[in-house]
Amino acid sequence: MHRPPGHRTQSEIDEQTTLGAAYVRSLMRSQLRAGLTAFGVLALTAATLPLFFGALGRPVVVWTVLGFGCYPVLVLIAWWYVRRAERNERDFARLVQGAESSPASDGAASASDAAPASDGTEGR
Amino acid sequence: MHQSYAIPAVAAVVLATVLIGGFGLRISRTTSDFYVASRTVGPSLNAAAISGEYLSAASFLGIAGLLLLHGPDMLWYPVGYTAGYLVLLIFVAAPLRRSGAYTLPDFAEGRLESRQVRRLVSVFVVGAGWLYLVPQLQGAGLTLEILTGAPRWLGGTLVAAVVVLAVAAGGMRSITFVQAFQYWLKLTALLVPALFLVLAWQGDGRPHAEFDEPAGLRQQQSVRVTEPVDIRLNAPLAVTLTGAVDGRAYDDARVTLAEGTHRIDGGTRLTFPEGSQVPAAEPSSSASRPLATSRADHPLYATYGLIVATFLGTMGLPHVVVRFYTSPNGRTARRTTVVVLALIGAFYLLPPLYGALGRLYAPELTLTGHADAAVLLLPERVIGGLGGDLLGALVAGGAFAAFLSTASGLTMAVAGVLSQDVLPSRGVRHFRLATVLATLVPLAGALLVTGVPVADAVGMAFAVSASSFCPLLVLGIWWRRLTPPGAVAGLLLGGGSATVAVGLTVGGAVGSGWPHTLLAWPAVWSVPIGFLAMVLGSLATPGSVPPHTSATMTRLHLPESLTVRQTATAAEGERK
Repeated sequence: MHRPPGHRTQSEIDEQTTLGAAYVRSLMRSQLRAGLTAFGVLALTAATLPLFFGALGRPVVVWTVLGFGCYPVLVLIAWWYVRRAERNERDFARLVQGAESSPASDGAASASDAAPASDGTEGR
Repeated sequence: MHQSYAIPAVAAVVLATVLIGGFGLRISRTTSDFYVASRTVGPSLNAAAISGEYLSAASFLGIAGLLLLHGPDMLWYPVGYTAGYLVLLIFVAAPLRRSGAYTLPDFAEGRLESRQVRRLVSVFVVGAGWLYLVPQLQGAGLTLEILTGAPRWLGGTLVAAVVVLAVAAGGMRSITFVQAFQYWLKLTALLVPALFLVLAWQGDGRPHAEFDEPAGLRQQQSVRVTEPVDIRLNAPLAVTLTGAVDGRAYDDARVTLAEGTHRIDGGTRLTFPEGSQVPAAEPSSSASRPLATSRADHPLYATYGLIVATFLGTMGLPHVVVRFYTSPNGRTARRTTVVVLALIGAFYLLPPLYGALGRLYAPELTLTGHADAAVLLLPERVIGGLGGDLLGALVAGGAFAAFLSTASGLTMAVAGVLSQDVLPSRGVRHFRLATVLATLVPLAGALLVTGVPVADAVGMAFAVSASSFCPLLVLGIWWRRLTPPGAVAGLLLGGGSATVAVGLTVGGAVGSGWPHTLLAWPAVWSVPIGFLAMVLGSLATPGSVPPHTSATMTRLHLPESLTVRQTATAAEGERK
């Protein structure tokens, strides 16, 4: 699927250098952001639905929404999240390999710039 | 119900379980095979196994029973059971798999590097597992009693015996096959009769019942009340009575009960004429007041309590968590979870159908306290004849598959923890001993404690799990500053307070009003307590952050493509 990871960046992550930690932190941040977005949609829906049902007072609506309508929505949120999480991991793998392929002398410096930068683009 | 068909159906399910378990025995060789099926279970087989394990008696029988009793608000149960998997996917699935641990205590020790936290988590895993096993065994007893008239203890003992055999024989590898088979069996067992039920309902002129009205009888119906019950009548009711009402004995006497509340003694038979309204059973103030009934006090709060417990509790259920270790890697663990969501979502379309039809065709079940039996009784009641009997037998087989699969998954998880943390050695022989231990205790509980509805008992296990394991997993995976003292504080305060609340509710210490509602639905306050205690406890002990936190975090979050050799060595080193 992609090239085997480069030795240099790989060992940085393994050995817990500051740079390696920064890499992992940026991955965690982007994954957590994807997770919180999906969870936020779920929590907001779950929090407002009981109030909505109470105000509406029509059992038929409750039957339809909770009995049938909500399951496709749950699967859709899950599907979106998995796509997002896998993309984050692909981007991260590309970043780690990209750092390795650049000249050895400034490889570390460009990678340390790239880690927060990729994190910033993720939010848009 | 005709035993001549139900008994062979149940026997066939039991036999198939043992046979498939035995098949697993022949290919289950190593310790790793035993605990995690050597981590080689692909998404579709694993997803069917996870779903088969997860869809318990509470799903198969309990949801329809609750809908029959309490109406559409109870639909939050299946929605919560499904959404819990989504939350699990979002925060836990891939990192948990990448942690390379076998059980929740393994995860706790690996992440926090503390034997003390490990022991505490083990206690909670065993406790939550047993709490969840009791209603499975009780449900089995009830089902077998309704189907065949066998004594109540027989069903639970039968399930316990089969589970011990299947789990002790082949461990996780054989259980994976058994549970994948049981998912499809359960789906078929509800789907096929449901199609015929809907056809019969169509042929019946598509009657429908309003949920805010008391259920009306469509034909003369006889009801035998097993336990004393209070009924409230809004209008005089003519019934034929054999037994005792309000302290007066009757023998096949036609009586008109006046408006107001009446007490019907256990063992009384009431025959209602066609068209009469089935009186609603009053929530009695006795100890075993069902949780769902107590919703009436503060329904909105109870709904939120249910949502919080099921959404956040799923990730901590011991038998759910252990399944993720059987995926080959974190990416597969995620994809498996999406398939699980689709599979259990498809299954949960069916129980509400039974609940709605049960309200139409078997409304008298609200009186007998056996609403959980609605799914079992409907085919015979609505379709009748040979077809009804055969469909009823199919449903009975599916119900037994539900007890067997969930009970074997739980036994597997509890036995795994017992054999690692309680018994001295980790060999396969000790695992088999642990299996027996893991089943005997809840079996004793199921025989001693009665009268807690299946879905309610399961709801309590969810509340305990949500308040203890959810903070531990979420903070453990996403927060670097978590410390062992903080984790202990969170587990004890969050999980402990939920456990105490559940104990007080079951024990009947608090009768009614807000105190009762708050204790019966603890998740709304106990989950924040768990999180808060864990965060504050960790911030207060910054010196205790585990030394290898950074390395652990890397292992949890790094894709396998970048860490192939790391995980391989870590996984081997931990167990061997």
